[in-house]
Amino acid sequence: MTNDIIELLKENRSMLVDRWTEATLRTYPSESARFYSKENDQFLNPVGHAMGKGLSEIFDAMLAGLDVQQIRPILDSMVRIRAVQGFAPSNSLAFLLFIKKIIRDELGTEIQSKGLDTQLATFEERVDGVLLVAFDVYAQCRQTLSDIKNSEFINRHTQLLKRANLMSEETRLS
Amino acid sequence: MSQAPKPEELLRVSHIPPKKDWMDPRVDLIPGTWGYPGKASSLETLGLPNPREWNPTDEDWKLPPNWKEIIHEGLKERLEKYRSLKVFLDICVRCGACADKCHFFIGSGDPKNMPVLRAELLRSIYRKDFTTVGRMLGTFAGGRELTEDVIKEWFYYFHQCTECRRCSLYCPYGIDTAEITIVVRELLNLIGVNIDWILGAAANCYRTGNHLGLEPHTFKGNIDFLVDDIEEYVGVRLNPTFNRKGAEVLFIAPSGDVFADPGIFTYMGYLMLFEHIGLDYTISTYASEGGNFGLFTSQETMKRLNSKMYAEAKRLGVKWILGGECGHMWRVLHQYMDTMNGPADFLEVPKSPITGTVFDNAKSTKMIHIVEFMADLIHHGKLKLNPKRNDYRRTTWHDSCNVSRGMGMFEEPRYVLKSVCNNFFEMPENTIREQTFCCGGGTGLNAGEFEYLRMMGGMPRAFAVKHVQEKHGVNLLVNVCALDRAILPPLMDYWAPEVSVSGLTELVANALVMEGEHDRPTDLRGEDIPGLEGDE
Repeated sequence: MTNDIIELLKENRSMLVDRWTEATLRTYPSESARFYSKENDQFLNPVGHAMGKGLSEIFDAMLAGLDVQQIRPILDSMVRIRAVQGFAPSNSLAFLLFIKKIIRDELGTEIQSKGLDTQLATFEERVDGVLLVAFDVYAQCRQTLSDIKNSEFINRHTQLLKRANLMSEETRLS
Repeated sequence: MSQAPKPEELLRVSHIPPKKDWMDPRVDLIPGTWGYPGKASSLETLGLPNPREWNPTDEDWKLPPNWKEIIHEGLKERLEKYRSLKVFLDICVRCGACADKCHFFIGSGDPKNMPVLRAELLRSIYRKDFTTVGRMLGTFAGGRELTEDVIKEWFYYFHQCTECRRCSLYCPYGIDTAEITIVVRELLNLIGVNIDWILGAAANCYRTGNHLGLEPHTFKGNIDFLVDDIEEYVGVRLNPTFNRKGAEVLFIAPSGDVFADPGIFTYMGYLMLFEHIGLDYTISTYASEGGNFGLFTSQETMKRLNSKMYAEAKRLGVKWILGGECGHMWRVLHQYMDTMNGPADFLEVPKSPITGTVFDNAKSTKMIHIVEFMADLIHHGKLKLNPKRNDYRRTTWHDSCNVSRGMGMFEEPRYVLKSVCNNFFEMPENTIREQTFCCGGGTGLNAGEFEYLRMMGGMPRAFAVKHVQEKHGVNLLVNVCALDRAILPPLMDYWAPEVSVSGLTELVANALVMEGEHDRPTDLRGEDIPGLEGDE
C-alpha cells in the first residue's frame, strides 16, 4: 500500500482533529460542550483539555501505524474520564468511531476520485484496533473502581478486623 | 451508568444528547451519583420529621400529605430569618461567572451542576411563590410550580454540591451558593428527604458523641491501640487521659482520625505532639467528635451536636478547647458556633501554655485549630524536629475548602509543612488557596454509593495533583481535613496512582525527636523510611 491516504489525512490533520474533538464534546449537553470547547486552561477544564489533546495524539498515532504500547496511555487519558461520567459503556467509547464518518463526510469525494477506498478501509481497521484497545482500558478503569470500592470497605473495617484478630497479611495486602 | 442500549437502538446512532429545558425538573437517577435515603431509626433518634422506609428509585417517596405547604412555610420562615437568603435569591443577574467554577460541573458536564442553575432550582420556586412578577407571569418570569418532581430534582442536585464555596469566590455579588444548598437541604429535611450517610452519622453523634457511633470504651480502646503502635514504632509509652476534670485543655478531633486509615496516623501524631510539649490536656469520650453533620441537616441539629463540646468543656472545667485536623468542623466553629451556642464565657481565651501566645482570634469561641497551635510552637522553636525523616516524602498541599476558603487558613499549614518536610511543591496557582478545588466528597457525599459522583467531582483536584506528580515526583498529598483523608486516597488510586494521602500532624510527628525514643527506622505507619535504615 502506498501512503496516499495517510498523506491525504496528514494534509487535513488539523481540520479532522478539530471536527473529531467537536463531535466528541457534543456528546455532552450543549451548555457543557460549549464550556469544554472554549476554556483553554487545562486545570480549569480537565475534560476538554484531555479530549482535545488525546484525540490529536491518537490521530497521529493512527497515521504512524498502530503501536498498542503507545496508544494505551493516550486512550487512558480520555477513557478514564468517560468511564466515570455516567455514559453507557457503548456511549463511553463511541467517540473513537466518529473519525470514520468525519473522514468520509469531509474527504469522501476526494478519496473516491483518487481511488483510495481500499486504503481507507485499511486505515479504518486501525480505528477499529484503537477501539478494541480502548475497550481493554475501559474495562480496566471499571475494574479499578470496583477494586477501590472493595479496598475502601476493608480499610474502613481494618481496625475492627484487627481487634477481632481477623486481620491476616492477605487481607491487608488485598 | 444508564441502561445499556438494545442492538436496534445502537443502530440508530446519534450521540448528541437531546436538548433539555432546565425548567423540566425530571431527573435520571444515575447509579453512583445519589445517596441511599436516611433510615427511619436515624430520623427518630434526631426527632426529625417523616421517618419511614422509602427508596428514591420508587415513584412514591411517601411525602407527608401537606408536603407542599411545609416546604412553602419552611421557605417563608427562612426568608424572614436569614436576610442573606432573600438577598441571594433576589440579586442574581445570571451573569454566569460562577457557571464553570463548580468541580461537579467541570467533571460531570451536567448543566444543572452549574452553581447558577443549581441555585435557580430553588430560585424558580421562590420567584413563583414569593414575588409579584413571578405570581403574575409564572414561567415567563422564570417561575416554576413546586411539584414532587422538583423535590426529587432538589434531592439529586443539592446532594451534588459540597458547599465548598468555590463558585462564591467568583460571584460579583458575593452570592453564597453553599448557603442555598444548606437551606434546600434543610427544607428537604422538613419532609423527610435526606441521605443515610448524613443522617446516620448525625444520629450516631447525637446518641454516642461521634459519627461512627463508638461508645466510650470502644473510643478509648481505639486510642489505646494507637498508643501501642506509637510504643512499637517510636519506643515511647504515652498515657493520654480521658474525661479528666481540671485539665487545662480539652482536645477534640474528628472521630475518623480515631478509627480510619490514614487518619489514625494523624491521631498518633496528636498524641506524640502533646507528649513532646508536655501539654496538660484530656480527651472526652462524650464530646468525641469534631465534625458536625448537623451542618448538612439543619441549623437546629447542627446547634445540638455542637453544644456537646461546650457542655463537656464546662463539665470537665478546662480552660479552652483545641480542635484536631478537620474541615467542616471549622466552618461550624468559625461561622456558626459563637452565635449558636456562644459566647463561651465560662472558658478562657486560648493561651498556649508553651509559648504564651494568646489566640485573640478565638476570643469568643475559645477554641483553636491545631494547625494554628503547631505553627505557633514551631515559630517559637518549641519543637525538636528532624525534617530529614520526611525526606522520602515529596509533598504537595491540598487546601481543604472549609479551613482555607472558609476561614483563610493558607499560610499556617504551609509554614508547618515546610518546617517538617524538605520537599514541598505547590499545585498550579488556580487550583490552590482561595481557588482550591474540593475533594469532591464533602458535606456527607462520602457514602460508598456516590462512587462515580466523587470521581467526577474530584477530577479537577486530582488532575492538579497528577500534574505535580509528573512534574516533581510528588508522592504525598497532605491536608488538614478528616473527610479529605477518607476521600482523597481512592481518588488518587483512580486518577493519580502512587500518590498517598496524609494529615499534617502525621508528618510533624514523624519528624519530632521524642525524648526516650528508640531507633526509628519506620514511620508512624510502620513502613520503612528509605535512607534512614542505618542512619539513626
